[in-house]
Amino acid sequence: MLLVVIEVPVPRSNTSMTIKPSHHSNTDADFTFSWNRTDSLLLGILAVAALLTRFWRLGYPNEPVFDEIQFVGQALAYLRGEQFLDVHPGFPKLLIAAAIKLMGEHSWVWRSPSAVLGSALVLVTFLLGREMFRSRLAATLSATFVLCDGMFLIHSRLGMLEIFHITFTATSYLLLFQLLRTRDPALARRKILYLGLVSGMALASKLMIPAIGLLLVLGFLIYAMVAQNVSDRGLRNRRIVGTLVLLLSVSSIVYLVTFLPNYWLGWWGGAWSLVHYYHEVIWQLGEMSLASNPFVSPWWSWPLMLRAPLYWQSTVDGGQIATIWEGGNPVLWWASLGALMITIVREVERPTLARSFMLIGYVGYMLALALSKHPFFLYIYLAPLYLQYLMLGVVLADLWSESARRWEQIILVLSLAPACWLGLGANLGTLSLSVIVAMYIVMSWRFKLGGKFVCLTMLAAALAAFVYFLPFWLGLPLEPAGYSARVWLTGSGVAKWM
Amino acid sequence: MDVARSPLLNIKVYSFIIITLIILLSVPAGAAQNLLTNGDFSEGSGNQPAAWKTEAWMDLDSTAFTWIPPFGNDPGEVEISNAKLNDSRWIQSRTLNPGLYYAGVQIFTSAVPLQSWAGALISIGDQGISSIDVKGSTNWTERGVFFRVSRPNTNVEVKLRLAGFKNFAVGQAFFRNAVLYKIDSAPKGAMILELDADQRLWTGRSWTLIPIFVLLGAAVFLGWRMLELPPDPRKPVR
Repeated sequence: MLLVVIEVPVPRSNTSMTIKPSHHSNTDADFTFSWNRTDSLLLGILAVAALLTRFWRLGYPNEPVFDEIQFVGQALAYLRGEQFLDVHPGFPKLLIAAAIKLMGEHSWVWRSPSAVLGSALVLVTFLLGREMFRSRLAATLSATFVLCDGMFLIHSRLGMLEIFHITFTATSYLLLFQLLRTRDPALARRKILYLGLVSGMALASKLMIPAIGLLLVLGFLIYAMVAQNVSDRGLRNRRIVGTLVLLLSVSSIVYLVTFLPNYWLGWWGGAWSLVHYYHEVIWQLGEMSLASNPFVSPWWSWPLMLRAPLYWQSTVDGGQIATIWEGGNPVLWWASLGALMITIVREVERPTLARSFMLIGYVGYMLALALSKHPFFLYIYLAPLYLQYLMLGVVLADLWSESARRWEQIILVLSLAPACWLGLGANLGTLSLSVIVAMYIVMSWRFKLGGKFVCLTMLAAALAAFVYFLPFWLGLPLEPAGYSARVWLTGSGVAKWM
Repeated sequence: MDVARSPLLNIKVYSFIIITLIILLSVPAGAAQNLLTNGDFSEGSGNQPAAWKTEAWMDLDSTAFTWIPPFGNDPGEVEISNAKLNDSRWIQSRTLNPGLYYAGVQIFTSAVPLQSWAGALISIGDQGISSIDVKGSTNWTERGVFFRVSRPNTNVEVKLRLAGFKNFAVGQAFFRNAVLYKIDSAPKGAMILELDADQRLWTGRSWTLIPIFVLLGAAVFLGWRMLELPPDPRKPVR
């Protein structure tokens, strides 16, 4: 039904990580993926790694961390029938309440819905990357970056809202790209239904920001249909209207259903209550826009991860410090900025639907957030960061296949510089970076393996940073010296971690 | 005298006397009946004052509730201690008829940070009928709220709390001499809050939701039918 081909980077190598068209395919649009053992193996490994990192010591600390006091408290208020009003819709809080009702009021229980969704996000990212880029390597890399980034990790381990809307929005991206390749009208119609369901869940998980994801998906869906070279415009228009009506009505029903507990508990009385809810939202947002909070950071600081706040801290016996920190994996975060620049240049030179989707999505999120008067914490950047990690995945996959250009390789090598200097100090950092550059030159000119070298170096550095910062994300106790060594930015202004 | 040398304390003492007099004078003779049971916290057993129960936003080990029985000339007290952020309350439910009411209590706080979103206070329910809060480390301070009930047999919960609804605080708060009076009139200039004012905004007929869901259901059906199309044999566009 929806016939748009997504241009895929031409595979330069014939490795098992490259997905080839089905032998049964008649057209490019029928380009079905052959799911093979490699896919199952990769998905299985990612699932085990996601479950381990998301569920291990999930109940620690056995007390609310940061905004858990708000959102877990609201879940408990649902269970007590104690009326409250929050600007954010209630779906994640209802899931937390359901978990507590089923398994009791324990910290691991109230975090378990986030852990399930956070684990699912890793798998959804693999499937999305596979669908968007038709490269198992790009898909695996993107999923690994989500797996190894601290901000995705801690939000998968806390009873807060972010991981809910990110996971549902990522699932809507996946369904969009599946839909764009679907020719069977019955299957396409079912996928539109599913897209409506997950979009409704995303909208019901957080105020405003999932709407940007929905607009992005809708925009590309309509574009794909309008771009079809059809003779029967009436038929095409009917498809467009039908798709919009089905998708928006299903997502609206899901969204509204999440408010039904407010009626069932007797807090709200009728349709007018929904209107009043939006009055309250506007009033409360107006109040909050005046609030000053030391954790709030300006939008331009998010891509650089300048202001990454402390979520929780406790001093344990012996003077060790246990910390939960909101920051991401600095190696991946800063490297993905390089991938963003590379993607912009590639898009100008050779636009593709997948690239346009990632870039328009990124710019859309950033514009909406930058123009908002509402103060934000760094975690609001999760949605654009997710798109950046998709970009980094595909760029590194191209490096591995030696199809990336020299300047692209150099940008990614240089993106390691901040982590080298901040993590190892000026002298050792400069020395390390020099060694990496020297090895890159040798590998590049002598063996023509510069791309593979950069890819492996980047992965090794990201993995090292993941292990190094893991205590900061899981709250594992550290000696004071170890704690201080990890706080790379200690300025008095915006550039401050903790 | 000490009081004379401390202007701030002097003002507090006079304010307390004036507020108490105003409240007492506003209550007609013979009607000054405290509607709360065991408002002076004189009765109870173990750690539990009679007729009062506890509640917290989250059930945390770091929150403690204590009953301090009368000792010597000191009246009974209840205490809330939040070692970590929470909104904790001593509660008593009452059924009230239409009229004007005053709910008050004496509050003593210790180590409640001044920058807290809310300190110790008395509230009726959770929807905005509350006194001004007390923060920091203070001496006994009277706090109260005037409110109007418009529906017969309205069930209310009087809450002596440390922190407000969805506004959390740490520290200790002690409460004594909790009162709930039905009064004929409030002192001139006193703010009178309508118990149902906030709730009225949320009332309505639940059947009004039905047309919304019917319309959306019809839209789903319409969209589903519009997409009932044969397979498209055309080549895709790039």
